[in-house]
Amino acid sequence: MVRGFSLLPEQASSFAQQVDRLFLFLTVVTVFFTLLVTGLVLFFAFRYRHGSRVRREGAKDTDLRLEIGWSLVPLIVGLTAFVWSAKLYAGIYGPPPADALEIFGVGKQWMWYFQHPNGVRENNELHVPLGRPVKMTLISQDVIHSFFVPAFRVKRDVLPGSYNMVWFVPTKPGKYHLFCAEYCGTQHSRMTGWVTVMKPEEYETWLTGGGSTSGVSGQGVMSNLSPEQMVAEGEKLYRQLRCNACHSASDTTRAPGHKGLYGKKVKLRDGSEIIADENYLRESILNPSAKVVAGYQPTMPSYGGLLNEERVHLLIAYLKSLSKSEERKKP
Amino acid sequence: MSATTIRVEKTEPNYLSVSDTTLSWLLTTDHKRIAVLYLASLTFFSCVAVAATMIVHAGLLTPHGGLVSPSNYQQSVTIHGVMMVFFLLFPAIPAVLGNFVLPLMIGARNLALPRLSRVSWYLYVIGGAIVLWSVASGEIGALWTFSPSPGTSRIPLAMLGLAAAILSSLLTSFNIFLTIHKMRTQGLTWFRLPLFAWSLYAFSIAFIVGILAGMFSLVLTVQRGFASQAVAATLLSQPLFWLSFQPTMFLSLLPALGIISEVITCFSRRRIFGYPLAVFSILAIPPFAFLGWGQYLLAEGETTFASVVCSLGNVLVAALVMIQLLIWILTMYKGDITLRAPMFYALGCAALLTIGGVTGLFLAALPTSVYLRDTFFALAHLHYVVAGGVLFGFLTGLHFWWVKITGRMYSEFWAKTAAVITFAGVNLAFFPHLILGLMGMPHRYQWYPEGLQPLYVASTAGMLVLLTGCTITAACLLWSLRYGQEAGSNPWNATGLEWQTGSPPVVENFAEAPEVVGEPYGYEPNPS
Repeated sequence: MVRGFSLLPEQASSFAQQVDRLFLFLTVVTVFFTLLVTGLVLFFAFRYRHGSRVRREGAKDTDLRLEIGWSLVPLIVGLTAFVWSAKLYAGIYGPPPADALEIFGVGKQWMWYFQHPNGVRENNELHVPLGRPVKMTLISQDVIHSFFVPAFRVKRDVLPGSYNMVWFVPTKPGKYHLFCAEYCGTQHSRMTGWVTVMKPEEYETWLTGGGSTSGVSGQGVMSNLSPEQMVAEGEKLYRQLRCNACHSASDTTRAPGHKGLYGKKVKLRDGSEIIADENYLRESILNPSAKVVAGYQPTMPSYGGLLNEERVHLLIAYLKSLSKSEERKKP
Repeated sequence: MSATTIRVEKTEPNYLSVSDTTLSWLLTTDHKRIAVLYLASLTFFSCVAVAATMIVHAGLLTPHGGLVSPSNYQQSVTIHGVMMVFFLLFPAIPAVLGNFVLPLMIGARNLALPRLSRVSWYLYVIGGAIVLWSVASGEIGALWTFSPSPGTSRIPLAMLGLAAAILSSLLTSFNIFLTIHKMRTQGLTWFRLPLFAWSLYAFSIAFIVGILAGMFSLVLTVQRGFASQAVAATLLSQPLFWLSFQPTMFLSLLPALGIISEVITCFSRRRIFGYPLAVFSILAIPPFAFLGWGQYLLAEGETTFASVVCSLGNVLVAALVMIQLLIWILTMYKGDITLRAPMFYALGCAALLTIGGVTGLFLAALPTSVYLRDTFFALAHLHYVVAGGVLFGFLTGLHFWWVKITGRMYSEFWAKTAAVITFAGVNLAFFPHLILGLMGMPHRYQWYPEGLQPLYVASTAGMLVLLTGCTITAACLLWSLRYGQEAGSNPWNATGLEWQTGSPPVVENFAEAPEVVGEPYGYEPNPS
């Protein structure tokens, strides 16, 4: 519908069309005001040039109606754009649908690394299914990066130390640019990649084939772990680090237990409550004294520096699995 | 401004001829000499900045950055940014034109704190030297925002240089603020104050508030212990940096708005349209600009509420800039317009500002803003505002008051030619960037898809045109020093107090303090 606006890249997500409509509106406003102002300036400069015989009487030094009118028109146009865009923005960067496909992404100098829910991993390439909401959970290993897919019209900074989230629904099969949009060092412009949107059945085949099926580039795929393997690896790590020494399942006097923790409300020492999501779990592993559960002392040592983001992700996968088994037991 | 006209004795030495030893310049407390010193050092720094800019462009001529190594490219981007923002953008209009014209304009003998003004020039030069040395001798690829910092040893030194430059601008702002409050001559009430003085006043306050807000938040943050962790420090440096510099960078446009108002009303021979509206709309810009500071952090995941507030702030700023344009257009209406060189620049500035203003709307609306942040579009918008607004505003003022500063008339023909060439250059250099940004191309990329090369080449060509225009301007002005006709005290037949004394003015500015008895801008059509 708004395809005449060809400067923008292809519309490959459900947001693209809505954003482009706003683009079109703003372009019309831009062209209108630019022509109006430059036109009037040139016209007046010519018409009222020194020596031209025009009537100059009756010019006012001030004219309240005109002043208010001219101030209101841009203001109304501006506020229209503001309300429209604020609504749209809240939709795009609001919470994702519950059935979204969850993909985990790490940015580091200077590459992208993605992990699909079944454990398939790839570098600088991202394969996503058509028509299904995709939720990206992103984190950086070092400096600030930014996940930018122009064709989807989404951009989200990838921060060190905290998960950031963005979601989209791919609507058109194809291969699209992935850019790092936040300056991240000398090789910043090499931190690019491709997002491939595939038909759902192709995506399934691609996934089950370990991501390296014929036809699609499997170059970026590293070792793959299935979800079960991820949980198993996480559990191994959990025991290696001796987390279970304090966080025992049976005895919760020294430290709170982990069973069923994920997604639950936790009461903290300072009386506030927090949902135990991925960001909370991650923080409590790397900086345990930040948010201590009510009834406990801040005695846990920090694991920051011992674990990279991928290993933290494995631990969290294991912790999440403890909640899932809990749910399954419920009638 | 109607005021008692002061006759200047031909024999009395002016501020330039009074003495010409090096020491008399370096130890001067005369605001006019300090302004000239600023102009000279600013010209030097701008040559450095331009050289760096051309290296950046050379690095972008081919899609794979073949001509310039990545580290040299980053270094040049850093020098370009640091020099342009801290050594040209902030000081250009306040420290050169403000220092020179403001005391004359308000009938004062000097700035409120002349020695402090000299100190701020020292700081400016020392800061510039430190930054250049640290950047040129060490590998520094952190850009002017100094964003991803780990591992470059020279940054603390460069930071020291920047601190000196920022302090210098702070002192200048403080001095301007005090001067306007304390030094106005008899009869010069607030509502007789020229618009250039008003715009300097608004900028000074905004600059002081902007920098202090950033510093205080930094202190509070450190105190709360967040910054003790390296990671947290990386995260926090961004918001704090933009809290200080997003508004101040934009607001350095304010004095340019004042200059354009002065020039358009003078060459249209008409009273400025709606003087109170002009004053209030200038004063209203800073608060809303501060509301908009978080726009650079959209993608970082600030709360939706914060984003919406910032968006509203920026929409209102765009509307306020439109009011300035209205004032200029209606001042021209039924005027008696002579298109002298300063007017050429002023009209060019108005056109560039319109583009800068409306493209700002794309960056104020949230979904388009997220898409365009950190792309060439945001870069082009910024450059339309600073290269269009501030550079053209500065050149407008420089051509308007050059005759006062030097007492010489430059060649009208060459000045106008340079204005046209510079205008074409700015558009050719930055319009391709608007297109690249819409296509989704991030800036600060040395490697780019091959199909985009023509746009990069066009922009470089535009830079060369822009550079040609600026070179002609410099040649034309320097030529006037030796061969220019004597300008006389008021060649533009303008009303400001600065035109009521000789060109160049005497050391004390006025033989006796002038008294203001009427409104500013009492212009009437020329007798034909």
